[in-house]
Amino acid sequence: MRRLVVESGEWFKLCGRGVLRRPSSIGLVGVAILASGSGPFFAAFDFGGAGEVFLHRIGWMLQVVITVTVAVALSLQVLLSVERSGLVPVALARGGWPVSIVVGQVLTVVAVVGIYATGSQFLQLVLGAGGLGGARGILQGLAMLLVIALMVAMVGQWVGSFSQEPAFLAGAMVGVVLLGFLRPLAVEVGGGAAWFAMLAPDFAWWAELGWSTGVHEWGDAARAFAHASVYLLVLGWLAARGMGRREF
Amino acid sequence: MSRPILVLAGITKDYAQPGGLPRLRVLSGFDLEVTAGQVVGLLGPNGSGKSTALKIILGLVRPQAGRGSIAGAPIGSRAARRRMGYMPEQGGLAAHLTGGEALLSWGTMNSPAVALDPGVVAHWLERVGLSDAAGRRVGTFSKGMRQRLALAQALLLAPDVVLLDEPFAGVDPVGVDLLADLVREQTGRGAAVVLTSHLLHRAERLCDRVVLLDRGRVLARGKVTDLVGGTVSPPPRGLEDVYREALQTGRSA
Repeated sequence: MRRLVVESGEWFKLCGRGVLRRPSSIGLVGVAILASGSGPFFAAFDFGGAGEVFLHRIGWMLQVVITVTVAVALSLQVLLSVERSGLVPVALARGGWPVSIVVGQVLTVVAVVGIYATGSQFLQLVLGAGGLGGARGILQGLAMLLVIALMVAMVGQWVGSFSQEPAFLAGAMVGVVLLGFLRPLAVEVGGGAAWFAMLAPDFAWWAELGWSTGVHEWGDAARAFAHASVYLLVLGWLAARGMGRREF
Repeated sequence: MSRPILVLAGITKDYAQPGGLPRLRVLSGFDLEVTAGQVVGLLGPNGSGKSTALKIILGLVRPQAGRGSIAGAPIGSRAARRRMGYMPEQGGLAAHLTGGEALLSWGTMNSPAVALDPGVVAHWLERVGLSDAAGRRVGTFSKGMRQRLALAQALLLAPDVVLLDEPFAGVDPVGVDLLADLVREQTGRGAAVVLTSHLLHRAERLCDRVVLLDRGRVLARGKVTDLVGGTVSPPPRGLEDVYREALQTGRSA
């Protein structure tokens, strides 16, 4: 167990340094914080009537798209930098545990997205957003982004272990994110699609922004968290198993 | 003769090919025994199966048939992997780390002891002539410097079996001398070394025994001195001459 912690910690440090030393990663985090945290700034402009509603919707959509895109891009950067370094086969050849590599990568994603989500919420606080900037808003934003980033990291590793092609890896991860957002649709369609809904985590629910504004309660949050945890554990296990069985 | 530390027996490996082509056999009934303190070269051109053999030893590729062991532990097992040090043909180093960080991180990750002595890292950086570059990022290293760092990484934890994939590729004559010194140092402390190369004249200097491969089959094997001691080619005769003769004999057989 101690070795697992040490190995995972070293992979975390290695991946984290990769993010901190890559200007594009720092730039991505900055852009995301500005984009997702800037809502209150634009809300201050009073256009009035239908025009304002339209602008508000466009602004919200842009924020979501930029936020999710950056979460995916950062996760991909972590995955691909390790993949391209060729360190994984060398580590596995020496008896490294696949699970420690996956855990290290995932911890990096968690840390980066944590900084990003917290920065975004902090900016909202500074800009004077009422309810959204509160403790619930911070928790909700953090949870939503983390689930997205974790899914990308783990499914990417899992699918990558079969394909060994970064391009396919990227496609698969975007597909997974889309799957998450398609969950409500799968629930509506039911039948054959229902199993998807059973597996998909509840980050679509997190995205509804209902909890921070008091529409949903603690019980809903716990249910969503439990679903997401089970899903992510399964994905993590698949990712580590896929890496361990991969041929190089 | 002492018991071999590395044994492969009857290893067969083939890969699926796209477009409905028949499976490509890259190793066929391959056997290998290496004792402690020996340097064995798996030699042949690209596609001869030497890197695949190395990856099978490492557990990175699984054979369709055959078995192998390292110090009694089955190949691919954690116990077997923990005894090996591996230098890949390329890659295996994080470009964003400095030379010192790369070795320290690797050592901490893989050391049986939880805390790795930084003195060990400093020793190996000095040993491969990279002390001055300890604070530079690996991404700024020349190919030769990366090769030396990868070699230090492979040897850092004093493995029982050292596997070097094309260690001469892109290395200047000074680098080859350094490699030879380090390999001899390893065998001197009782480690077994297996290397692959298509540069036969360079491998000839370093290897005690060689296995000459062509398209997954063994053309010839034995001590370098025995193989080059034949009389078919006029002297001075080298492993490249032996390979050409064995290839002609093997392909016409």
